Amino acid sequence: MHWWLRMTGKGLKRKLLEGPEGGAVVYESQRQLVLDISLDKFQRCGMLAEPSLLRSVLIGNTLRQIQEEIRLEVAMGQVPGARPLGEAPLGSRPAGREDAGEDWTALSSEEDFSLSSAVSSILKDLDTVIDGGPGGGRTPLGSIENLQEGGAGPRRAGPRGEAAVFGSLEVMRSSYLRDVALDDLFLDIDTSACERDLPGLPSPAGSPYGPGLSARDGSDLEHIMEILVRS
Amino acid sequence: MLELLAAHLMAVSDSDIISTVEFNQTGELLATGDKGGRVVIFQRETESKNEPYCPGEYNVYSTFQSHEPEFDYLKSLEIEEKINKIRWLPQQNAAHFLLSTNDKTIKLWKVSERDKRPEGYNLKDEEGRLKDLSTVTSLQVPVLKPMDLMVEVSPRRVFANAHTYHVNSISVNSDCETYMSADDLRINLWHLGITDRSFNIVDIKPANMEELTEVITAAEFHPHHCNLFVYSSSKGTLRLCDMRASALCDKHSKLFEEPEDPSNRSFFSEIISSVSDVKFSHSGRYLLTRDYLTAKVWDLNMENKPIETYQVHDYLRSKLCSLYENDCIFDKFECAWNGTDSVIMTGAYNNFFRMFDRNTKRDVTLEASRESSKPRAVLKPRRVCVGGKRRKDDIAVDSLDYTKKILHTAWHPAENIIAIAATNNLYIFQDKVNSEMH
Repeated sequence: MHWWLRMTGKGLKRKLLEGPEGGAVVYESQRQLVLDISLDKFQRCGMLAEPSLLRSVLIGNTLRQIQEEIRLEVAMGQVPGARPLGEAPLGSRPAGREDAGEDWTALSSEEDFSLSSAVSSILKDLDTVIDGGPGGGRTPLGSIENLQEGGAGPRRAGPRGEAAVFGSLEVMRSSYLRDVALDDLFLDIDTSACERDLPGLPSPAGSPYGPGLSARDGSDLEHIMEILVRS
Repeated sequence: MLELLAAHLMAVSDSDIISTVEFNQTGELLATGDKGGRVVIFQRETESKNEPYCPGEYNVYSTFQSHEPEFDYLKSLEIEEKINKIRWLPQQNAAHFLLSTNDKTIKLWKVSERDKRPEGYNLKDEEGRLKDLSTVTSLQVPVLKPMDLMVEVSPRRVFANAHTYHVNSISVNSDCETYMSADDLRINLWHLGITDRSFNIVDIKPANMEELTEVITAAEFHPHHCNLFVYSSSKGTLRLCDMRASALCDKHSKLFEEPEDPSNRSFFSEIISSVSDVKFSHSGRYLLTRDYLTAKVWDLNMENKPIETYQVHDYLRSKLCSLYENDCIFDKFECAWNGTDSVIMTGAYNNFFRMFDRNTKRDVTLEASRESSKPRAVLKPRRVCVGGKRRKDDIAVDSLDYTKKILHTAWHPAENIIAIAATNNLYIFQDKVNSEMH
């Protein structure tokens, strides 16, 4: 159960009731939701039965886009203003809101917003998994060694790939948290997905509604979607 | 009006899920590939005696195992047997040839008929065993005797080891001698008779994979000009390339791209603009593309925007977040032209498929389902209710079944006969008016 996603739902509900800045909050919440889903999907990319480069690239670009948007806002020392999704260009300077607190201003001094580099390194790792070696060169012996020591069976990415994927996530998580402190949503991210056993992992391909919808409190999600649709 | 011509309903198992559908150049044969690596060929029966004016149904002609699951020990990866694409070669003699591909390996198959067998060999008996020579006392002339029709399928060429990434498209060139195969980052050109080498004609792999932001999603040769081909990308662009310009077609001749509509911008703009299929019109003048929400027709002479855009299921626009979450947003819907390039067809969810008449601008939503699988059942148009009044038989957006998706469809090259793959079922419909007029 992704409690942090449930939290998103509840937080959203609460914030919405608060009133006048509803548009901005909805936008932030949606962005947070997309970010959470994207990170979750990215973590699973290396574990999928058939790693799809197309899917990884599309998710990676979505993450990069959100990162760029946040980076721009941070650079201007501001947080997102009232921008219902679909009306204002993403990444443009939002209407100002001054009550953001120190988290956002603190962020502006931090140049290295490392989500993007984490995305890049995961893409590279995925290529390693598919291609069998960085830069397209085959390293037969290395791969065979991996196979033997890791005992990786069919339908699993090699141990090197997994380790690399998690390695970069670890880097991303720590720096991302330290720098952004967006919310307390990320604090427990590692317990939700990373420590799960591989064989028991529900694959999005296996269940048409994917792990997210089935594993989660449906009413909360519905509520989120209702709100998003309304916006 | 479309009526059901044939329905081939398979038992529900993952390996039976149809992954590609393709008519041959005459429409006499229809091939399907599935996740289990099998190819099933259907043949249109000659006009039956009972209904002389009714074109025959499609019945199973031959079934064979094209690809087997493999394990790549070097990369520690399983290679699925799933058939990604089938393409027929233009028929040049009594036999038929087709190409089939999984993620990595393309195979050329020969499909031929045999209805006679030789009998009366001097040194062999009927089973082909050598006779005891002491029993051979006289010479005889072998003769051909009629026998039950047998369809033989034999592998002729195996084109392997040329793709690092997953092959998404194969396309036979109009020169009938070469074909191309496209994966996520590269396109290779092959000679149909040569398996040990191919030419890399497009390579978009960046030197540093960390800079990768775009992949190739589909590719096809021009139907008449053997030097031209098009490929589509995950960023919603089409590139037309001319092989006469240079051996490596990294520089396109034309780039087809539509500027993004700012009013529709969202976090998912790029994902839904990713082109899942591209098809040249039979005339060669137009390109048909499919992205997540729309089908577009492009004129080869106009690069800055499509000449027509058709909404396939615009009501999903407000549901993109949950479609992203459940991975449906990555579904790769294909699209098809009719024989005269006047109608286009593409699939949707809930076993629905859509048809758009380019001249009258009328569109219709139809459903391929077991309920409509009675012989000669007539398809009723379906309607998805989007707010407002809900009419009888309308289906609400929220009740659509996203597990039932029609990704693969094919249109007979000359007649109004369509083949629809709905998960593990194949439906073949024909235009009723057309068949009555015959």
